[in-house]
Amino acid sequence: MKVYLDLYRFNKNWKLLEKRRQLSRSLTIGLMDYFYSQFNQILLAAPHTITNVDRVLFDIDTTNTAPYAQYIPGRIAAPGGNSAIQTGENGLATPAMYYSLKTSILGADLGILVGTGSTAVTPTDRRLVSRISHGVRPADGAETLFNSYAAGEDASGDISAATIWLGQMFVPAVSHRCTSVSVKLYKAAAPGDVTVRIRSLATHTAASAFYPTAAYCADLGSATIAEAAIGGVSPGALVKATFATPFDLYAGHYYAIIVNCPGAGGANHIYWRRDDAAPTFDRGFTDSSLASTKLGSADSGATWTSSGGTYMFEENGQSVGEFEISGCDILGKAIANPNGEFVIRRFFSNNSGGSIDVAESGLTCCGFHHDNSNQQYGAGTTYLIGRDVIGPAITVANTEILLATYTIQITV
Amino acid sequence: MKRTEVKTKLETSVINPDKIPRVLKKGEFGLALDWAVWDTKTKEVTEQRSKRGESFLRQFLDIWYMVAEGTHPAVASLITDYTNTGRWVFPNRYTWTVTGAAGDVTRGIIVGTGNTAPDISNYYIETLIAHGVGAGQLQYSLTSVAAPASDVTTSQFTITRNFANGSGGAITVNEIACCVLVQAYPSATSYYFTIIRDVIAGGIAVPNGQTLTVNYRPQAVV
Repeated sequence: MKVYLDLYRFNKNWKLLEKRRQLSRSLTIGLMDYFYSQFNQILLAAPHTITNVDRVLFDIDTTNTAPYAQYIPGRIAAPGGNSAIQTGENGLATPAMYYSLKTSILGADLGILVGTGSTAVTPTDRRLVSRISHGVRPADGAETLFNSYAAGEDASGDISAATIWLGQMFVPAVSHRCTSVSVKLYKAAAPGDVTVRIRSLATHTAASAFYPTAAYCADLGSATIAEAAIGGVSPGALVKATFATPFDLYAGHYYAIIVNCPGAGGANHIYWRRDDAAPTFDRGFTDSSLASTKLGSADSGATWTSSGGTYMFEENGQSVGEFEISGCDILGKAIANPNGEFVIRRFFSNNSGGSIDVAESGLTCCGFHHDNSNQQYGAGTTYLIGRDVIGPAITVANTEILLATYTIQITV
Repeated sequence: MKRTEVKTKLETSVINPDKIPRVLKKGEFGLALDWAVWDTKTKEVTEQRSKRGESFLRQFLDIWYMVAEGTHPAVASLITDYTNTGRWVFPNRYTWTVTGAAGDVTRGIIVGTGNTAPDISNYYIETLIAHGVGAGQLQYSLTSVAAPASDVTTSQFTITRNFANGSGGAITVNEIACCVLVQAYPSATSYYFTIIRDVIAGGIAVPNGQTLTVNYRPQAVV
């Protein structure tokens, strides 16, 4: 079987400016995960664990209670932009479920994706290196504030031991590459350096609920704040942790900023300032499995609880520019012995105001977990099944349109 | 000659990445097909070979297209089953089921004696070797599937079936195929579709009392 990746660049009047064809080099283990789970009829009782695009372990299965319910595992076709596919099949008793990416998938997360990263492909790639997301934002020339909370500061979280980890959930409205996080801290005595990390939240099992559980969630990035940068007087100040390697945060996905201090204990404390009385943070959606967006763990992130309040933070990054992303189509099936093929197609319109260099392309498909906890009956996710590096990069100027197609071709 | 039932135990596990057979080129997605003929008592292997699985059939493409599209049941997809009958099927939890029970010749890996070169429109194996201990028959174990594994270049998983020869005579296997289950809408009736067929040049001789183990390994090489 061969898979061809074709790239066409048009001007706004649909005049073809450039055409490229390359053999797709890089179907990944994610595709094997999909076929394995279906071929082997993996069921809820013994699911198959994959790693999704947020580096979260996600148990997929083929269990589905109703024979005619919408069935999404393996689906590649997608609506455009921020339009969504609902993955929860029925019985969603909690309205918030409808609004959660726990039980729905954004169109722009599914199907053909493009990005700016050029790192060589490996079979275990799980996400694009630097995805170009849906929208019209230009590339940021400098680090930009994307998410923050600074209101109503009235209390502190106390990191009094190495095993105490505190977290703040947030949901970006805009995809971007995260470069740094600032948290408002002060110290008592000499606790040593502080670690700041960002993880996506596990979204598929009652056991992990909706938390950045260590067993499921890898760090997307981590960085250290030197003790010397942290003041010793309340209420302290924002101190910055800069990530050596920036990483993507996707619009609508659920993330947590996590702070811990390996040297905390005895008289040595770190305090993270917060708003307990009347938090108004509106980018920390909750659902029935998460009481609030302020998180705490007493066992180094192995298990978590949530409670009312919002920690003081700033999350900064840079957009690599955005394309308006169309629906992803499946079409062009043609069979003529000895050949057969079909095509996966998507358009990317650049209305960002600037040029964007496309250096990688990928494919994701739907994963499904028949989680019947919390009345959700079907958690969805996307996971990578292929990634290609495009060399040299293809430059898409403002107002131009990029068409990307994958042609799946068999020959007997 | 005396015909006896040859007991065959099937075990599958995640393959050691160091032992992944390499028959595909860089950048390919396809099949590795390997087999062994062995004695269940002495464990002696009398034949062991690997080759590229050459022949995904149109049903493979038809089913994958349907799944990738998420074809709505009300529309459904017309796909030719192993009886050469078009069936209106749709993607659901059973799509692609390959894990057939022992003796099932409509799901999982099957073998035959036909040697006509594959055509993309083949809908079943050319000449099936039936399940049993009669003359010219092999005993089909269940079909099992081992979890995916990868190394630095190759990811893959394995579909396995054993065929024990208790027929009393030697049997030559010339073709190998693989079938999957997909259900119809609105009846939810299960139908069976052949997605792979390979012809083995020179055939595979399976002496009486010996077992043929066949592995199809879907692979992607970056």
